Amino acid sequence: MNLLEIKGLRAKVGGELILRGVDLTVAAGEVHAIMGPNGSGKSTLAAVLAGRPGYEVEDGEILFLGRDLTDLAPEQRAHLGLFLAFQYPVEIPGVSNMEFLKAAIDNLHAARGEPQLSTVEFMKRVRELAGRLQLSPEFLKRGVNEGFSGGEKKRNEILQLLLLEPRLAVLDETDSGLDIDALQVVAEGVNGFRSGDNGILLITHYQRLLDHIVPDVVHVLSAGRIARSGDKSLALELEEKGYGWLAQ
Amino acid sequence: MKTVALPDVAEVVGDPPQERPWLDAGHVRERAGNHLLTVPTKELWKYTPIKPFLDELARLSAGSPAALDGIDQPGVRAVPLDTLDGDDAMRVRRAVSERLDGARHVLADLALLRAGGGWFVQVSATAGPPLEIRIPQGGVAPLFLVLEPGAELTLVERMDAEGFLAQVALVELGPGARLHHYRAALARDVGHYSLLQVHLAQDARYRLNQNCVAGNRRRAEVHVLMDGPGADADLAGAYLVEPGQHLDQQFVVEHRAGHTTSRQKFHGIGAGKGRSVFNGRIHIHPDSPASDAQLSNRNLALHPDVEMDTKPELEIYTDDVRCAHGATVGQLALESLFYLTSRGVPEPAARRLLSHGFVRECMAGPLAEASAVRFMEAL
Repeated sequence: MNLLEIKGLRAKVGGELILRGVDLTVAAGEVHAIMGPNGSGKSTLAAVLAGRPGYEVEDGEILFLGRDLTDLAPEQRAHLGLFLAFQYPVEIPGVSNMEFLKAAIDNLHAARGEPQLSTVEFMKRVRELAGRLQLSPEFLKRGVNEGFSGGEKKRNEILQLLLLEPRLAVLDETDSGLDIDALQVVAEGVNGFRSGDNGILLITHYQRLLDHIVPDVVHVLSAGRIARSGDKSLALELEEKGYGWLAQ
Repeated sequence: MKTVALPDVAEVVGDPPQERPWLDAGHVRERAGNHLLTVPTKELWKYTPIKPFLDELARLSAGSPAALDGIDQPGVRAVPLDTLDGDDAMRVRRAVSERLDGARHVLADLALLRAGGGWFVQVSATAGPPLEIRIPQGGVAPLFLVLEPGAELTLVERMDAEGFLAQVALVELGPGARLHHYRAALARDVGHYSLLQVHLAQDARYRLNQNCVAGNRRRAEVHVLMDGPGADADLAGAYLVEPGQHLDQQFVVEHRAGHTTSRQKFHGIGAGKGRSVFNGRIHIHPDSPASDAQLSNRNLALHPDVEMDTKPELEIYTDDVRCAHGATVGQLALESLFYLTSRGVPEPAARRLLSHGFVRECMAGPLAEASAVRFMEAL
């Protein structure tokens, strides 16, 4: 079953065409890695999928579970089961993590007609996830990402991923700014999410993340198009040769 | 510019003024009269007409509207101003005559002349339970609070009264004294004037959290004077402007000694067609080296017709200081909004959450919850 089908996607940011015809299909149970040089459109693709304001789809289709996403608001995409782990998670002082996470899960459940988690169930779940991701329980009381280290912010993204249980997770350079230990924790979290029902789109610059989260397919995005696709060995080849040879 | 005729001082406070042991009424009346004449030319009253306040003061019946809880504990001595005499009365008399800036706080002088009651509170140790002030009825509510050297107190003040309220609080913190002060004015459609003036001696520490909802006309003046080296003040709070309401806040922090520190952080939300005026002034006097002062005022204009004026002012007469100030009026950050909506929170709820967080960031202490609930009702 296909979770995501992107067909001929062209998208602009600030009037500039960045994605120039992306075709990509992610089936349930698959992990796809998107690699590519700076400016190739990796983060733009993630933003367009999640519906970030200011990113304009000029042409093409994004089908998620068979439904066209392009006219849906970000929250509607989330309700359908799409999740974007931010490259730069936003700090929101004054809104506690607990308040934020509860609002997120309550709204997801309400939109899907599912019963709400009681506060006790919610706290238990969040504490358990915080423990798995080595986040102090105190983090729940702090403002969203407020004063968090880079590693804590990324672990908080993964905590949200595990709490909200989407069908497709788009991880935008989740490995950036992580030391080796934090990378391990984050990778374990992502691997714990991985199942036959959901999919992962993993955007990264570096092969090292793929040692921990092994992809089924690796794509190289170059100048707004998928220039090459292959199995995990493609990532190793890129690590060895760089991106320049693809343009030849 | 249209000039509105102001009432004569005698029309506001009566003539002759009532002499009391704690108030040099003749002197204060003369000072108020002189400064009242200059009000129409002053920037201080440019955005908030003073006349309605004067009219309200003139109409007030005398009487002390404040009730104090927490005064029956060791180390706390509370005396009604009506019965104050001797050294205590002289102390208050001198504070009003010599320390109150009559040019800047002319309404405070007039309010004191109209006062019929009020309290003198002296704290000589670390108080246990907080001192709580409630003001159910409008009127004039003077408070003279002295924390002796090393004393510590938590003061909780609800400033919501039925009818027009004028408050004058003069606070003296002795060397090493600590005051944790929480205030909230959460009623709309009211008239309210308040002056809070705090003097900090050496190594004294003052923490203020003040949350205000705009009223028919609400003017809150806060004047903090760091008189001794090592003094440290931290002022924070949030405010809200609803449709048809007006709030004018005037903050002055004076560094009059070296190695003094002040922090000010205030966030306001304009949720309807009303007006907020925020004036934050930092004044570093000569011979106040290593003064460290910061002021931040951020405003969220959530309604297209709200007017939010903010003016930070710096006046520095010593070279070796650290000063920073910033003031903004803007909208919710789109990146934050996207973050919340991408997690499934619908945009209206995300906006409420962000607005709430914006003010909540500046709320603390025992009145924070009530303030947050009140703000959320309006959002």
